[in-house]
Amino acid sequence: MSLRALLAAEAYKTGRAVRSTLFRHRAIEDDPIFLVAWSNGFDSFACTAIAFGQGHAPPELFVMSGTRDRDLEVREFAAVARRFCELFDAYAAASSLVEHHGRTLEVPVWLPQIVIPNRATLGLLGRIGRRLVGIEHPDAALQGLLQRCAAHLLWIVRHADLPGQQLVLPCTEFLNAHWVGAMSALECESLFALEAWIDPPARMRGFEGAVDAERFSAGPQPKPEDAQSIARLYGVLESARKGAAEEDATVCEAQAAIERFFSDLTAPVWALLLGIARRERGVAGAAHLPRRIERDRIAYGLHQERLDKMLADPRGIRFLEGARDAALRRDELERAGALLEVEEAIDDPLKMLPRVLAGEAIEGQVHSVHREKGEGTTVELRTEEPCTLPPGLELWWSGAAFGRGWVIERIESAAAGSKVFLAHSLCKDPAACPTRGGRAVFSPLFFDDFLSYGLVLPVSAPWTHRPAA
Amino acid sequence: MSGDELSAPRPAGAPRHSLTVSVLAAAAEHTDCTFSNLALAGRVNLEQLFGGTRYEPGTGADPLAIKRGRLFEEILKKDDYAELLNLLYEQDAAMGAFGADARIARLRDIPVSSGRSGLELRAAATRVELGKIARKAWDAPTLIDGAVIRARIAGEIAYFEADGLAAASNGALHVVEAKSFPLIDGRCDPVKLGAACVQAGLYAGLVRAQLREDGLPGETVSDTGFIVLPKNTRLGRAVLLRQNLTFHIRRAERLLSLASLDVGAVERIHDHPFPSEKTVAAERIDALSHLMDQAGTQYRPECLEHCAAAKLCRERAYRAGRVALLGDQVRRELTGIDTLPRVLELAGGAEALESEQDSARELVRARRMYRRALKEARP
Ligand code: SF4
Repeated sequence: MSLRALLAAEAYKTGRAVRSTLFRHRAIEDDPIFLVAWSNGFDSFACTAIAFGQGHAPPELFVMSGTRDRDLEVREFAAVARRFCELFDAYAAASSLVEHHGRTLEVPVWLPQIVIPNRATLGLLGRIGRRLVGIEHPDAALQGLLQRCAAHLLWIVRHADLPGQQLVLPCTEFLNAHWVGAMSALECESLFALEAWIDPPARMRGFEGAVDAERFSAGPQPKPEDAQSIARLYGVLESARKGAAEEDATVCEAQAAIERFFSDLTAPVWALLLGIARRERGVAGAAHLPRRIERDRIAYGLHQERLDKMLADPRGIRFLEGARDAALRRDELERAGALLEVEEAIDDPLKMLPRVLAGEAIEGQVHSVHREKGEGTTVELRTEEPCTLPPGLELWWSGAAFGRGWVIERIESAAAGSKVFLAHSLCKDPAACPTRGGRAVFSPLFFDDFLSYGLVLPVSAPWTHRPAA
Repeated sequence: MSGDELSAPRPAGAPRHSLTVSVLAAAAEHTDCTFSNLALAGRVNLEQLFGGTRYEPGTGADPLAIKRGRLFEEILKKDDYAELLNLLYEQDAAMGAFGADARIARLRDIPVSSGRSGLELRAAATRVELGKIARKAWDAPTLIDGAVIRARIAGEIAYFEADGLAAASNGALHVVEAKSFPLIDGRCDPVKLGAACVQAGLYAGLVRAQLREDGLPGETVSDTGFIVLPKNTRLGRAVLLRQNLTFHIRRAERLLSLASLDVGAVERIHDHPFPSEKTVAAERIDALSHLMDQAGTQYRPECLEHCAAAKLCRERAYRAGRVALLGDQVRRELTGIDTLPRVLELAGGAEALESEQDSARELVRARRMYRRALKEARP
């Protein structure tokens, strides 16, 4: 039984989504970059408009004119690239030094965070990045700018795969991880509908608000009726261009109409993103957020450090160099996922709850704590329901989930629940031990040393098989 | 009474549409819904019927997408289908045996003769060509362009136009479905690819049924279908994806047999036919709601992607507090419980029916632990 089902029923009754965590598990910076991107509706691969900027100022909107003039198209991309690089590189200007794997690394003081509506937006950013990589322009400065922006975008998309990262914050994912409404996974994909469940409009219940909110899209795919308008507006522009120069009034007018359209399309999404960030920032952050912020800052520092070398490489922008890098990357993703799971469950009782419900962890009142000289410590935990875990199993107390765990010595039945005796042979520090009379959770989750150290592989791959030259 | 003999009540006013493969493909997603089956059997155009009401489904295809589709089709057919034949040749070793002397049956060019519609003529010609392929005749075509398959759906004849049917030298027949969404870096929109596979599966099912009707082996139609896509956004080059259609074909065959058309339901709704589109919006919705009550529906969130009645069904499910609103995964977790208010009652300790007992026990636990966690967090 998932907690989600129960909370969804609660949300149904109250007409509002219910918080499913006690803490906020992702950072939200004070002044992040917000970004909204649009495809043209029928081709989800084509970026037609992109708006970004920091919340304290209105968004800057860049609209692709759909021109067949390659030079003009490159200039349009360059405008996006210039502004994006200015914003994203600005974080490197205010830096501090940290120790990283035995050396000093320059990292940004503030987390360079990008708040986007959903993961589909990230997909579109990746496609813009790949498109920019493919552009070759004789102007070296322009070419350099486009490649720099491409490298940033492709790195951002790659970094966003790392579990627990906070450099990119897709709002639908964030809200779905922190709230439950009486809606299906399919409907949860709509940022407007989700928000309507969380904060319904006046005199509406979540359901009604969400149905009404389905009129809007948060991108990148516009609603079908908007896609039709976009198609019509581009049709007008195409006709205006026939035999006319780009500066002609009819062409400019048609372009301005397209820009107005995208500006109107973006405005509610922008307001929504700002509102979500403002509200959620007010929720207390989980205890392990700072560690993950630090990791993201280091990742950004390393990216900036490698950037110039990567851009100078005649083989082009690449993040993986063969099988060794692929193995290291996979290891990095797996460790980050495992560590995130432990951190979230340890930080937040509601995140631990599904494990208790599934019978993988036990929760109860600490009835007694015995410290015997030279013999370690024994805790008697009184659970409200029968413990089904076997004696001999090693579990970790959520208050100090590292090092050696507690071993279930024996289980006795008591009223409706159990008396579970757990022993720890090395527990000398009272802070690493639950206190008598308090409540405690013992689970299989712990900060395994393996999660903190990177995989070490020989520099040259020791594969016996080598492809024919 | 067989599915073929049944026909759902459809007054003159109810908007109708002809059966296309996309209509069938949408219906294939919810063969368990009697209301939807009745609409399909009656050729009732639900989109039109919901038009002008607050349950109106989203607007249809983008004109640019249609234009793009047409352009891509032209590219595939240019120079005697050179691009398409090349793809088939490259992708399937068996197809390669045809090499340069591939024979193309161009059925779109058949002139309309008096008394018979173009579709009828093309369906007859398709039947002949299919027969040749199944019998491995010397003059069997490599590619049938513009094939039309005739099928009897719920007592009425319908014609379905396929993009292409490709025959390999070993006598196997593959459905070819051309779509204009691009494949970039080896990836394409999975939802669109899934929809293309559903359509290809339906064509395969229809062709199998046709062959069997003619006393030929249905298995001539391969479980492997070919989805042809542009290689990038610029449409210039195409790429062919081999797709296993076994699951989709099986589902299509089930749909085509219309075994799920509930005879009792047809009788029950005889006095409550589909309303006319001219009926005032509110009355139309009342009539449709009543019909849904009589026939029965099976709402689940996926309906929102396939069925024009989904917005109304979702609201009905919401008003009734149906667990189905939340999707299959949650529904499975709440086995035996129909409504969300009942979930809360049981979680609060209400007496459970036998069918609810397992879920109820877990709900009580979940609620108790959740409350305790909240209490401890805010002492
Ligand atoms: S939306 Fe309603 S009518 Fe359509 S398939 Fe689903 S349950 Fe049946």
